[in-house]
Parts: sequence; C-alpha cells; structure tokens
Amino acid sequence: MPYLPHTADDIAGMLATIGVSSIDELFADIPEGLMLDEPLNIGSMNEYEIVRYFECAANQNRTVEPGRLFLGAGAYNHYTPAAVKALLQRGEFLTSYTPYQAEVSQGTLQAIFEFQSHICSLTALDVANASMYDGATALSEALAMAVRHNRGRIVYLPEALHPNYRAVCHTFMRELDVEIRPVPMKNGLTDYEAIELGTEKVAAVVVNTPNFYGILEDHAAAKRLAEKTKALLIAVCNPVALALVTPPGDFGADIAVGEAQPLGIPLQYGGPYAGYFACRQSLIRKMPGRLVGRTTDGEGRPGYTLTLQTREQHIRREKATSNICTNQGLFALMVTMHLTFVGRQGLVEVAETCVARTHELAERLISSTDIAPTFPDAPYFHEVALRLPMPAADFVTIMREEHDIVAGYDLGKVSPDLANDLLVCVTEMMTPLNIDEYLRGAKATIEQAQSL
Amino acid sequence: MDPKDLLYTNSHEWIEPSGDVRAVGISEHAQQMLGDIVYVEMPEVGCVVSQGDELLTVESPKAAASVYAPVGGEVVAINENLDASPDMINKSACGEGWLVKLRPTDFESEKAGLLDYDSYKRKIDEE
Amino acid sequence: MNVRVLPIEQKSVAGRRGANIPVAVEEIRARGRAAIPAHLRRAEAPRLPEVSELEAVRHFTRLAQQNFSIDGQFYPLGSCTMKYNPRVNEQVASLPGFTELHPMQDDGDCQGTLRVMYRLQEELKKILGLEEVSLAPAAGAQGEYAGMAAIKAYFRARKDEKRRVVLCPDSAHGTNPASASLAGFEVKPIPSGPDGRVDVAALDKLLDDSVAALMLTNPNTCGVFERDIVEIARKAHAAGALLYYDGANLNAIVGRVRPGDMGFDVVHVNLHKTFSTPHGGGGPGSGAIGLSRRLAPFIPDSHVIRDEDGFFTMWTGDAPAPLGRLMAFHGNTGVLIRALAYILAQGGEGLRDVASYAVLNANYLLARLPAVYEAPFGRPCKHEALVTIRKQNKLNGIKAFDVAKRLLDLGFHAPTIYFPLLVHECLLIEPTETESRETLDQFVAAMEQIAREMSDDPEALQQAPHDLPTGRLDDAKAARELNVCCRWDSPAAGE
Repeated sequence: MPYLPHTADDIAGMLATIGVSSIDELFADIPEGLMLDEPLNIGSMNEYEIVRYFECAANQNRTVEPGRLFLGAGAYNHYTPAAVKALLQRGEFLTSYTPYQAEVSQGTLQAIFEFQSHICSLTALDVANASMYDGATALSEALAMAVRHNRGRIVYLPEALHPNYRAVCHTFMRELDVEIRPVPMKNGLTDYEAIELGTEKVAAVVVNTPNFYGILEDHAAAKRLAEKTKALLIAVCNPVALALVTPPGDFGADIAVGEAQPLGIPLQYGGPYAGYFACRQSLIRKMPGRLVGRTTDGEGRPGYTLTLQTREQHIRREKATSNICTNQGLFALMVTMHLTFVGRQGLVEVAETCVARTHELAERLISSTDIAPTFPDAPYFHEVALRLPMPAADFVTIMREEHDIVAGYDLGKVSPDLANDLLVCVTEMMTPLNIDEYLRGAKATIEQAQSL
Repeated sequence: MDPKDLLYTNSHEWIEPSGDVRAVGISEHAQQMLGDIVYVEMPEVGCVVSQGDELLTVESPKAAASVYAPVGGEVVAINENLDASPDMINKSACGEGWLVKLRPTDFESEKAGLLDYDSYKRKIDEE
Repeated sequence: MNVRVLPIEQKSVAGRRGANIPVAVEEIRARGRAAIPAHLRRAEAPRLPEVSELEAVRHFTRLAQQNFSIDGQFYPLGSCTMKYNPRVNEQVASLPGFTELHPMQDDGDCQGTLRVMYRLQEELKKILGLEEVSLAPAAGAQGEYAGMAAIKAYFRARKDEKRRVVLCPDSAHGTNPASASLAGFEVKPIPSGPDGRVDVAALDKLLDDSVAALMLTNPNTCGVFERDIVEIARKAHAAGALLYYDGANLNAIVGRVRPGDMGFDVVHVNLHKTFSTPHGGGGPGSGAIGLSRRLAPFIPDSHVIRDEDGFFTMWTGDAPAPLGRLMAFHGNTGVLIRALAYILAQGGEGLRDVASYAVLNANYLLARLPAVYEAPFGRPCKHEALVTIRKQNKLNGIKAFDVAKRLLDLGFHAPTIYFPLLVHECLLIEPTETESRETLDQFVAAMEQIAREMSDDPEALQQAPHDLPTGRLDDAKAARELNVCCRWDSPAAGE
C-alpha cells in the first residue's frame, strides 16, 4: 500500500515485541459488531492514474487566461512572483505544524511575526494576529470580540457589504444572540446618517471600504456613528487598496479585518485564503487567534514564540476568545513572501495600476456605448458597477461564449433592482490589449442584443 | 503581612483576618504552582461578589487561573501596581502582590469556610 | 540548522525592489493616484520590506532551514497525526485548472472542481457511515461549530429549546468546549474513570432533558477506545440527546470502524490529519462534517449536488432549515483536492492498513519505551501512546517539558505534552503509520538516553535544548513586554 513502509518481516518482529500474535489483537477492545468485515468499497489508483484523474477534472473547469477574468466580487486576480510560489513548496514550511516547540519552529514563528508586522503597517493599527480562515470569518470574529468587549447586543452592518460576508456574520451571530442591523445604501454609499438609534447598547459599527460595489466609503460618517453609540468601529478593507487609501488606524477604526487573498494567494475557487485581523493595543487581550512575540532566550539571544496563549481554546476552553486553533499558516506565509518580494513601492504601483486601468475601462465603456455608471460620482477603486442596456446575465453569457471573457459579476444575483448592472474588476493582470478586447466584445454584445 | 496571620481557602486564596476593608491575594503555594505571572485580569471596583464567585483571573504564559472570592463583599480597590509589575505576585504573594481589597458583607457567617495557616499548610502538604 | 535570521526590517534599504511585477508606466499610474479623492488618500506608503529578489529568497530559505518538519524529522505530535504528505497531492492541487478558477464563476464553468468535491463527499460518507457530508468548514474547529450549530438547529426545529447543555469528557480537546460555548451551549464536564474512559455511571447522572449533546472522541485523548460507546450512544439517544464525534483521532480506526455505526449523529474530520494534507506550519486545514439522517436537513451552505444529467451544482441555502454560510466562498477547496487524492491512492484496503499500522506503531513504541515512561492506562493503546513521568518528577523534578526540549536536541520533534489535562507530566506520542521500524527504534534510543540523563545529569536535562540556534525562550518576557510587530524606525536594542 502507498506511503506505508512495513514489510511482512517488520510486522512480525513488531508484533513479537509487543507480545501479540496479530494486528487484530490490538483492536480487541473494540466491540465485535463495530468492526467492518470487509474493506470499504473505495477503489485504489496508482500515482499516474491519480494524476490523470485530476488533470481531467482540472481541464473540465472552464478557466480563462488571467487577463480575461474581469470578475472580482471578493476574490481578486493579481500577479504572484515566481519566487513566492517556489519557496512556498519547501517541505520545512509545507510539512511543519503550528509552532508549539519554538526552538525548532523559528522559521514559521519569524514569518508569522513579519506577517503581523505587515498587516499592522497596512492597517496603521498596533497589533495583528497570525491570520484567520478568511475575510468573512475574520469579520465575524471581530463582531464577537466587540460584543465581548462592551457587552452590546447590536451590530450595524452595511448593506453594501459583500452579501456572503453578511451571511457568514448571520451564521455566527445567531447563536451568540446578537442582532445584526443593516445600514442602508444611498447612491452606492453607506448612509450612516439614516440610522435612528434606540436605547439598546451597540457593540459595533462596520465600515467596508472599498465596499462590495467597489466604492470608497466616507469613513468619517461611520466614525461619527461609532462615537455616538460608544461602539467599536470595525473596518473591512481590501489590503491592496490600503496601499493608497487612508488606513483604518488613521480614520479611527478600533479593529480592521479583511481578506488577504489579493496579496498573492491564488483564486483556487475560494480557498484556502487567509483573513487578516488587526486592532488597537488596548484590545489585544480580547483578540482571537494566534499571536507571535519577540523575546530572548536564557543567553539573551533573540527569538520568537507564541504569546498570550491564555486567550486560546487549548488553555481557556469554553472561556476562550475564539475556538480557532491555529491560523492559515501556509497562506499567511504566502502573503508575507508576496509583500516582501513586491515590496513597499511595488504594492503602491500595483494599486495605482489597478485603479488607473479600472477607470480607463469604465470611462471608455461609458463614452463609447450605452453603458452608464450605476452610481454616478461615487469614487471607486478597482471595481465598478455599470448599468448595461441589457440584462447583465445575458451580457455575461455572451461575453463568455463569444469572446472568451469573464465580464464581471451579475449584480442581479444580489438584487432584482440591479438586473441590468454588472460589477467589473480590472487589476494589473489586464494589459491595455485585454482592455481593448473587452471594449470590442462589449460593443458587439450590446449591438447583438439590441438587434434582436 | 505575615502569611501565618492570614485566612485561606481550599482554592488557595488568602484574606486578611480583620478590618472593615481587607486585602485578598493568592497563597505562596499558588504562585509557585502558576510560575511566572504575566497578567492579572482585574474586576471593576464597585462590583459585588458572593463567596466562591470568580473574582479575577491570574495568568502565566501557559495557564489562566481563576481566583475566587474567599468571602462575599464589595470590591473597593484593586492593586494597580500589578498592571506594570504582575511579577510582584511571584515576589510577594502575601504582601505587595495583594490583588484586591474587599469590604465583606457577612464575614462572621462565612468565615467557617476559611482555614487558618496551619490547617491550610496541612492541606497542601497532603496534595 | 542555520544561524539566526536577521529581522526583515534590518535588511530593508529604501528603493530596493524584489520582483519584476506587471505594473503600468508612471504616467498611467499617476491617473490612478488622481482618481482617489484627496480626503481618502493615504499620506505615506505603508512600511513594507524593500529588499532585492535574491535577498528575499535567502531570507525565506534561511527561515525554512530553522524549522523541523515531517519532511526532515520524526514528528510524533499526539493528536495531530503528522503523517507523510504525499507530493503527488501537491502536484494535482497545483494544476492551473484548479488554482485559476474564480469562486464566483458560474457552476457551468466549475464542473471539474465540483466533480472532485462531490466525489470526496461520497467517499467520506462511506468512510464515516453517515447520511450527508459537508466540505464547507475551514478547519476542525469550524467543523465543530457547524456540528454544534446543526444540533442547535435540530432542537430549534423540534421546539425543544430547553436543551442547552453539552457534555464533554474532562479529557476532551479544548476546542470542544470552546466550540459548544460559541454555539450558545452551556458546557458540563463528564469525569473520566480510572481506566481513562468515560465514567458511564457518572454520565447516567448527567443525562437529563437539558442535555442537547455529548461530544466524544474515540479513541479518546488518552489513546484508549471507549468500548462502551454503543451503550453510551443508546443512553444518550434514549435521553433525547445527540452524539458528536470529534474526528481528531480518526486515524486509529479509519477503514475499520465507522463513527456512524457507533451511533454518532455528527462527525468532524480533520482532513489535514487522517487524510494527509500538509499542516503548512499551522494551516490551512479542513474540517468536513458528516451528518446522520436526523441532522442532514441542517447541512451548511456550499454543498455539491448532482442532478440526473450529471451536472454539478454548488448549493447555497434553500433547505427547510439552513444552517447558513460558514465562509465567504466554498471552503478550503485546495485542501479537499489533496484529501481526495490521498483517499484514491489508498482505496478501501489501504485505509484499513493505515489504521492497522498507526496502531501497530504506537503499540510498538509503548512496548519498547523504558519503564520511566509509565503508561497510566496500560496496553494496548490505539494510534497514540500516552505516557507519564510523574514518578520521576516527584523524585527530582524532571518534567515532561524537559524531555520534550531534549528530544529537539537529539533531532526529533517533541510529542504533545501536558495533554490530556487529567494525566500529570504526560507525553502523548503519535507516531503515525508512515514511520518505519528503524525510525521508531531511533526514537526509542533517544528516549532511553534521556531516561539515563534523568538520573545521571538532571541539571543539563533541565537546560535543554543545547544545540539549537536558540535555547529555551523567555515566555514570561514575551507576554509581559508584548513585542508583536517590527519596529521600522527603531530596531530592537542589541540586534
């Protein structure tokens, strides 16, 4: 059998050492009726058959080349340096586990420390943990932390937040008996002024910028609402955007969370990704998740170790700040590597390129076709909602079938009012040629629809 | 404070034997068991606890120990020095490492649950 | 092992670049900058590394060299199942057809990935003996939460909401009570008997109509099989409660015993343990759950269904009583591909051998370890050997911690220590089935050497490790000073 080393001699010798006559004897404490008589009905494959099976499956997926994928909606298509992918395959990273034995895990520990540092830099907050499962669960953990912190039972979530993020928050808040109240959207922006406050204690106000529609929110209004209600302000931000826009720590957020996938992690159908989580220093003991600190050994040599573990489930059990056990190790490492190779100036240039190309495509579509902005005048980052002269679902299908372009996200799936609206994302992966192709495809698609 | 003058609980807290307001801490034995204390999660001044309620948490790098109220009463002060120097508990568990000051509500009827120094010492020797 | 790696901020030099990435020329980028309204613009670029590509490659290569890993060392970490991670799994999971697929593409574009997920659901149903499987949970802990939330939804649907208590053995993994508590349950411990098993008489007293569920792992964390499991399940069900199986220890019984047959209603499986997906220094994992017929209607979102024409759909939320969404997208798909590759390599017979050899290896270690490592619950064990040095500890203060640190010097990763909580000075040793007899013998030799050092040179043992780039780190200092991110402007003193 694959991956199993024992020969018949090994087994006989080992059984003799143990003092039993068969392996079955080692299972003698299992009640008779529970043991399966036959092996499970699962066929086995050799390595080549496995490779072929998965190659066939992979080929069955209809992916497009990265420059033709104009779909974002929470997962983004960016370039990952070759060195990142190569280094990530090293067995010392891939096949180690969570760094309980610090002396033989300094590589993982230092990398997590650097991850924490880079997240602090991006968010302009004091501390960051070693990562969460993804952006949505990071947000849900942030809400739970706010509830623990100030014992409020109400949290305000923008309607313009990604619908899947809202759904995840509902799943986890339901059992904690926390009420989620929506903050309405007005012209693409979250309208915090519209909130009429009751007397109940509010735990958190959430601001999401850029929001689901790609729009850069006015965080000042969110901050005012948080101050008025003495709630924590939680910011959900795209980390690439943070290279260019005011970071949460500078606009008064107490916690910042988000999806780190845009920092080098492949799309891979939604996971594994890595959520980031940062907060103010004063909240550190309420923070969920792993944390690495710098310290010294007995001879004063510097080293890294897990710290504040008393917040965690393996020590505090039912009173832990979260049930999370580790972090998204390998993908937090991938983000750390990505930020190291792309670097300070590189990330700014990527962000600038994304914004510039998105605006270029949107402006050319608006000026040369019957397409109009869904939310005129709202500032946007690398995603933009566009109103088409036809149903977005049809537009997406024709662009896919006739032009081999994934044109964007059909907003009709979110709201029937937006059946003609499309969310289009442009990143540094799209060359000027790709943008020309999109424009040609869009013109042809609209003409085709209008001629019917 | 002389450890011999204090009253103890089975869960290793101590309380001063007299006074309107009395200091509460953890025993020398408890601080040894916990090792390096790195943080104390204090209650709010003014909160009222019953005998045996969880009063606060004392943390070492790898453990979080609950400290229970030796008697019922109101928390009238917390030892703010422990915020900067939690290791004071290791250095002086029955002295400068006191945790909170309690104003007992019904000490006389609750003191039956407390041990004097010799009884407490016998108990930990048995463990 | 290599020498210490300098902090990245000390290697940074303003203006250096580490990658030749695709960005637009300055003229175009300037338009991007201008498109951000002035009041929303960041004042200064975030402080991130500025190093050359070679410098960055060396930085991470040297970091890698500081780690122990399965690829390099025996890694008998109890409860973590650190078995070999086959490389073919990495190869197939890295196929561009999988990695370039966007989670919001239409189902019609995603048939290959959906087919793989569906197949994994089906194979896990066979392995677990349960009605339904959900691949959505991101990790074991999230699987536990989903399982607990499904139980909550079940009782809610039956309007039996007085059931608010979840019983966990005192030997349970810490996540069990943490997850139950997050799902809004009150957790009560079940005491273990002197043989390390659930005390059935004590359980009887606890089982009343306030109990929603029992959370068990079997074999349990003491490494012994709960042989009364059928009786326990019968009693729990008779009292109206459900049974939760923590699959952390599935490697002991996979292919031989099915949790569904033991009477469990919900099971989480750590695909990164039993099914060989790499631990990645702490993640990602995957915590697929299996659900009995009773609980199947409460399956979370992101479930693959197959219609009569063989078309696969990613189902999201229109069941009678949906549990809801656990992740932004559909779970850790990349992990799922690897797990299926492993199951297909083993087949039914291979999986059965996995359990056999995992148990054989653990018992071989237990039989060969010197007497100072006492087995508190006797023999045989299942896939992990629990030993304690409590007697030695009373003699001269040697701790399990010292043994663990000395093993590092001798080239072995340490076992899990101080878990389960009910055995003092314990080491939980899980060799897994992929280790050869020679490796186990070398480990025994190291444990023998340490046993000698306990009496011959206890002071040195208490200072271990001696031969690594860092000695024992000051955890108290780390917790008191909380230095948790780089200081770009003032590098730490003395470094």
